[in-house]
Amino acid sequence: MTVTVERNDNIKIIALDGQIDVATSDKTRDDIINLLEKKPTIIKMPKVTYVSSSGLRALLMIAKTAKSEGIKVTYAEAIPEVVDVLQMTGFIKMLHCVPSRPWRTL
Amino acid sequence: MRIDLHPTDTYGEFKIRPGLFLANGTHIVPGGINFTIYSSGAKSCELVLFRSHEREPFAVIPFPENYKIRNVFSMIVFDLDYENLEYGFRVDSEYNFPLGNVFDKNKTLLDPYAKIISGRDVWGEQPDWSKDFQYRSKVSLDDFDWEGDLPLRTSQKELIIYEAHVRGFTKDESSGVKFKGTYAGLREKIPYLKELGITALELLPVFEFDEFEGAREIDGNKLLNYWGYSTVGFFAPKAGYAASGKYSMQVDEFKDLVKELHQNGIKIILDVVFNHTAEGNEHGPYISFKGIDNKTYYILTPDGYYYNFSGCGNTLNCNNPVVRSLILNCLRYWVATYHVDGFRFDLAAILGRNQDGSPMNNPPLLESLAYDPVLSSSILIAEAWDAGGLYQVGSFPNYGRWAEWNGKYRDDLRRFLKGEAGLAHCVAYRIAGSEDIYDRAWRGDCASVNFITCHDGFTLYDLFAYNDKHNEANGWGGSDGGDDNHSWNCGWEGDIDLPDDIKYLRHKMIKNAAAILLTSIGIPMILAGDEFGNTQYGNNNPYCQDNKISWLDWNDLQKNQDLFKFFKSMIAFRKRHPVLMRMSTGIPIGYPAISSHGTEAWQFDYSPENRVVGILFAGKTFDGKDDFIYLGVNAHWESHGVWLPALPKNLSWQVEVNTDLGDNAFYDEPAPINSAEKFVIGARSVIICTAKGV
Repeated sequence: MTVTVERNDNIKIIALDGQIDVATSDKTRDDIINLLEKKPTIIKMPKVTYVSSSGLRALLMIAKTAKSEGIKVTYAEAIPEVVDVLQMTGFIKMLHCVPSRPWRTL
Repeated sequence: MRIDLHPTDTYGEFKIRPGLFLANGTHIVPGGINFTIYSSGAKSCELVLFRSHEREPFAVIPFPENYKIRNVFSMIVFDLDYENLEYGFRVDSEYNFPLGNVFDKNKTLLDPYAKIISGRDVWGEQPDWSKDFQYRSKVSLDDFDWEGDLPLRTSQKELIIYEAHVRGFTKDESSGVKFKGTYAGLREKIPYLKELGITALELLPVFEFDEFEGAREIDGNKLLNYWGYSTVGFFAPKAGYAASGKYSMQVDEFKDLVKELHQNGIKIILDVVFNHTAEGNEHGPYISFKGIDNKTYYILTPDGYYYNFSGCGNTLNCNNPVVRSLILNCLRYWVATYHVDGFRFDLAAILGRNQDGSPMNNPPLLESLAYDPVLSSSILIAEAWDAGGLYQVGSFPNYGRWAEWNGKYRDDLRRFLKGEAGLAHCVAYRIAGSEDIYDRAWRGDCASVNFITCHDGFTLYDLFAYNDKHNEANGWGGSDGGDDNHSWNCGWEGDIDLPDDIKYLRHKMIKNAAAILLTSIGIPMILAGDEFGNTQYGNNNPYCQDNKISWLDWNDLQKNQDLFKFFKSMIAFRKRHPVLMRMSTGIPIGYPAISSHGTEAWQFDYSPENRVVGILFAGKTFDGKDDFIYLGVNAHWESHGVWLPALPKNLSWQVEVNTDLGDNAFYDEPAPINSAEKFVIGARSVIICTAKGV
């Protein structure tokens, strides 16, 4: 799993690449939380191929940490298989997810 | 850093240490996983580790001698990838069948406390029977973001139970949901349940079972163990019911279903099967209990064979202290970690049998469940009989806590509604809370779960569409399923070329049943789909039918809107009247809370030919005003005029329900009644009147 900051001006865009599973979830979570600043943050997901149970928890904890600091985090462009997992387990209701590229309007 | 969570030994490449002996099953601890297992007779035990779905284990770790305290083995193994891990145990000791010891060190066994079980991850996917370890324990993450949710605290008096099968509820294309036949699909239907107004969803078994147990092919149709009354593991939600089962995320998916039900004010009750397991008798497979500690977990004959009080091959030894703990731990687990609100116990009479099979006066298990602190507000419902002939309706050891499926309610109502003679006075008792069976002083207000249909038997539509069961598709030559259905086809068997007047009568009969059920004192239970006339084509035992026979056909909801609207209105009616829920705070002066009437007010007709029952409920509304409800039932094939009981001077009768009026059976606006005349109740019709201020 790689975590890359693609843009950092009025908004921050963080791109993820790989699987978020038991081997990567703790580090992914910590890396992203360390990157959070007081600005809208978009986490790009199109290259995330799989999110496991521990991965779901990482995504949720990022969102919760951000919320507690007043930062809006949006998960964008997840592939259908990942969206399905988020829907089946209900985690999607606790995350802000969008199918498209919201930064185009920001 | 805790000093008891670092490795003390190595075994091959694995770092290990003695584990948490007081735990059961597996727990994730910092850096590792704790494995604990009990066996009273085992001499040695091995932990067998597999990577997901692989045929051969990647490690077999014997529990060292110092990893055992008496009968408990416990070990922490460090640095395991718990998401990609399946595990089991191999237990070795002497084989001695007459003594009940059937240990086999070659069998890899499921953890009795497994919280996730893999092997049947996707419903109906053909298993690879050549694998010798079919049902595999997995490690579960217990954390979940409940967003403040807890089991609901609303009174049991407000229960209106809706009994449904997870898969059958949404599997049919007509359900219109995305994740058909799953927990997630059921969750998508919550707005429907909310609109109907039910307050509790009762699910047929969701503990892991094998749909391929006893699978057959009849006339080209695959028959499966569709209902699932055959538990493989008590702590694991059925993976094949989860859309996410292939990712082993069924725990999260099920919890999210519970959370969303609770957010919509709907409780969840699980139908739990503790009377037997899927291991069958001496010819059945080794899955878990049999190979770990046969004589602890099963009731055995003096020569080592299995007692069969369940009719399913074996009988769980429920009042053995170890098994009792397992059951108690299981229920506590479902309440504490899944927020489940209650349980319905299948063949619950077995739970009161002694270790030799005899019924007990004060069964420790049932007493423990009744007084357990975690279960203290849980709904406990017994199916108060078993297949060994123990029938305890009304006498189930209850400690003032347990409710029962009231089989008498079902049978008396069915027979009365179809027009049998001699039942009017029984039906008056049933409607009034069956106090002849359930003494209110001992049993409380919620002992009787009233139902006319349940998963076992005809649907409500079929009850009035078939005189005889039509179980040919089950492949037993029509020998399976009950014959005491007390059904009546309204003059036309089945649906082929159905005349309109017969269809009309059937809808009226369904509304009669619904009107009585939802005004009766006790907890009403509705079978899913009855509210829109779902049919099983006359099959009264579709336990094996994973197809359109069992699946709800949601097209019927559109076709039978009159039925749905009627159920919905009746449910709302019940909720408006505390007197029907034993929640009334007082009684109007000069009236008993419940009284029975004949065609003449205050004069019940006890003659066997009488088929007219009038029940007057008198109580207070939620805002403290006098409330009167008159339920008039005419099960005769001719109409009868009845005098309604006189009301206090400031009130007059109005009719709200008359099932003789077809689509308009539930009035949009109640209609006034001329109290100087008899009210004529149509043939095979039910009326409900309420009092209105003048």
